[in-house]
Parts: sequence; structure tokens; C-alpha cells
Amino acid sequence: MTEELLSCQGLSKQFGHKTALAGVDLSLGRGRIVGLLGPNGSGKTTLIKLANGLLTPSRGEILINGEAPGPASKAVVSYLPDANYLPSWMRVRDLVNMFEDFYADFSADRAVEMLSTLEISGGERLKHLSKGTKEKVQLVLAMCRQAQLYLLDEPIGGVDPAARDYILRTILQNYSPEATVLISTHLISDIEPVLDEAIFIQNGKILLHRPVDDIREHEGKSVDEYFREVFKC
Amino acid sequence: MLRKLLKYEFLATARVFGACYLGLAALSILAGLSMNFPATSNSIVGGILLTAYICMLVAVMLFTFLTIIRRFYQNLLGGEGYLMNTLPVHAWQLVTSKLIAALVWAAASIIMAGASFFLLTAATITSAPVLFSSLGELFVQLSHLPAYFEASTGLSFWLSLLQFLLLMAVEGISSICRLYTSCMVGHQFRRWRVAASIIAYFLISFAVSTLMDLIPWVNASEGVLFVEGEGFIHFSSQFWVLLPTEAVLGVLFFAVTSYLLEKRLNLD
Repeated sequence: MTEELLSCQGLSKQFGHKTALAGVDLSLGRGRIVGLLGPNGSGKTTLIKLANGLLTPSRGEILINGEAPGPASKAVVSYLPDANYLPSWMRVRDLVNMFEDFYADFSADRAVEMLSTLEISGGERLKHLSKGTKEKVQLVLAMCRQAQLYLLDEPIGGVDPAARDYILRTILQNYSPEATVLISTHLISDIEPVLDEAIFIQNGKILLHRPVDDIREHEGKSVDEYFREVFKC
Repeated sequence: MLRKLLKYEFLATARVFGACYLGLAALSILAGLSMNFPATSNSIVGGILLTAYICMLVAVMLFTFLTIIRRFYQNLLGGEGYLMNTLPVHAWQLVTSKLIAALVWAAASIIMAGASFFLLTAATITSAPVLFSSLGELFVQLSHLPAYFEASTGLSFWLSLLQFLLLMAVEGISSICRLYTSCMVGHQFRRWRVAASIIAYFLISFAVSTLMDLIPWVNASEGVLFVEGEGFIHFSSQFWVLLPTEAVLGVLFFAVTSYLLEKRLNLD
């Protein structure tokens, strides 16, 4: 197993004339919770989609455990997209079965237990669930895997404060200690308490990648405050 | 992994196809039954039922064709692509699962169309003894078919049937993979992807048709289905050119589709 869980070298992504990522160099180790922080349109989602093999790099490369995204990396990466992506005709229990079928590291028992705690019926079709409930189902499925890398794209963006607390607690209680969790968000004050490292990204470029304690110590302010200073409009 | 992909592919499509086939069967029986009663067969009701049956038949064929495209385009290149393309499987496995399911539904729809016509005809016979004796007569006629075929063509009936079915299968695979390749080529464009896929399909089809014209001994416009003895002899000689040509095209389209899905995916 290589030391670097995720590494980017000169990673760039163009969409026509628009540059979403401009020569990103990044390295993530294991066993930490990392915040990918930046304003809307900064390239957070693009970076995460590249790591999942859902986009093709324009230049450079992105590697998971030293390999380009493929079946091997997908087996150890748990992804929570920032959208409803599950087939709406499927019942909740069909999805649990599907995740159990395809992912060796998925715990169906834990998923069923969590869904039961949330009072989400296994027989319900996704299309009959509210947006917030759908997001909770997606979160449960993602976090019931014992993955090496969790890529959570705006997991708390569209939900109420109480649900945000639940989601963050779920993340903390369910990820495997040797794994790394990358949380992309612009709601920094909510996730700051759980972060080990912070990456600031703007206009497709990494501005900084530092331990959160380091930021607090040297800048003398919280990550949220420092973010507002760095990204002041 | 392929078996698991197929399981969910059929789970996604079985209910809708089942409903379509049941609807078709019901309409064919109703239309057939209405022929028995002067009140309905001579009136607008009989006409409506027969028209409805024919419309349903066309609708099922169209639905099958559109579903084959939709299952690839929406499930792999649409929102559901976030799920399917992050499963720990190779792109060729995703394409194969779609292809196998597409072939099964295409074959099932063709068989169902034939069965519905049989049901319609059977429903016009209301007396059970007459129905059974008609069925018996039909089987007797069918049992003479191989001998009649061999006498008029000089070819083996069963070998010709096998050749026909094999060519149908290979042409089916090639046609479906051509649709998939068109979708993936259209996906390479940033905007107007659907339009680009349609244009790609016509361009690829034109290229294939031109290629077929260049191959000697193949008259692409004649197709495969014949009813006259001489026609079958003609088909038999073309078989050994058509089959490898379609097989190569099928493999090519499959390979291009899988490559583009694995290496050139850009989901919105």
C-alpha cells in the first residue's frame, strides 16, 4: 500500500473555455478528516468527480493508492455526490441489497439499523421520499462502507441544522479509523470541529493545505474566520 | 459482477415490459373475441379494438427500441451514471449487461408480437372443439414444413433455421452496439449531446452501409428475409459473408463503446 491515499499531479480540467481545475498538486494521507473548502464554483466537485473517474482529466493525473481511478479504486472509495443520484424507482431495501452485492466492505446490517433509527421504511420507493430523507438514505449507504477514502460532496449543504448535526455525527461514528474522509463544503463553521486538515481552493487552484491546529495557532483565528478573510469578496 | 449487473438491469425493466406484454395480450384477445359477434365485428367497436391492437403492437416495438436506448443513455450517462460508474466494475461489464438485457427484451418483444397475433386468431374461434382441431391442423401443417422447405430449396431446413437465427442474433448485437457507440460519441460533446448522438448514429450507419456496398457478393438492400426458394438459396450463400462482417462490426462498436465509457467519461 503506497503512503499516499490520493495524489494529484498537475491536475487540470477544462470545460470548453472554462478552467475548472488549474494544475492542482495535492497529496492526502490516511486516517484523517479533511475539509475541501472553497466558494461555489471553486472546483471542489470537479476534483471529487475526477477522483471517482466520472470526469477525464484534461491534463495531469489523479491517483488513488497509486493507480488511476478504476474498479480497484472504486472498491475502496465511498462517494456521496451532491445530488440525488439513486434510481428513483428503487425501494430502499433494493438499494441496501445492491450495495451489499457490489461492495465487499458494505455492512447491510448496520445500514438497516441506521435506516430503522431514522424511521425510513425499507419498502418505500425513493421517489416517494422527501429530498431530505433521500439525502439521509444516500448518506447511510455511503457511510456503512468500510472504505479507505470517503468523498463527501456537500453532505450538509441542503439540510436543516438538526439534520446537519445528525449527518456529522454519523460520519464520525461510522468511518473506519484508518480511512480518510474528504468533506467538501462551504459551511465551514459546522464542520470545523471535526476537521484535522483544511484545503482552501479557489478558481481551480489550491491556496493552502494545512492542519487545522496549525491554522488556529499561527493565524490566531478559527478556520471559518480565516476562510472569510482569505475569500473576502 | 456481470450477473449482479444483469439482476438489477432486469429488475429495472421487467415490470414495465411485463405490463406492456400483458396489455398487448389482453387487446389481442379482446380484438379477436369481438370478431365473433356481429354486433361488435360489424360495428365501430370491432374496428376500434382492431386498430387499438395494431397501435399497441407498434407501440410495444417502439417502446422496446426506446427503452434499449434509454437504459444506456440515462442509466450510464445521466444522473444514475453517478451510481453505475462508481461501482467497482469495468466499463465493458456495464456495456455487456446493457447489451444482454437489450437482446433479451428485443427477442421477447418479437416473440410476444407473434404470440399476440396467434392469440388474436385463436380468440376468433369461440368453440373449444373447433379451436383444438384447428390447433391440431396447424401443428400437422408445421410438421410438413421442413420437408417442403428441403424439397423446394435443396437446403437443410434446420441448418437454414440455425443460420437465420444466428445471423439475427449477430445483427442484433451489431445494431445495438451501434446505438451505444452513437451515444458515447455524442457524449464527447459538451453541449447538444442528444443531437450529436443522433447525428453520429446516422453518420455511422451511412459509413456501415457504404462499407457493405463495397463488399462483393453482398447486396445489403435485399436483407435477410425471403419467402421464395431461390431467395433462400441466395441467403445461404450470403450468410458466410454477412455473418463475419456483422460480427466484426459488432465487436468494433462494442470495443469503441467500452473504451469511451472507461477513458472518456465526463458526467455532468
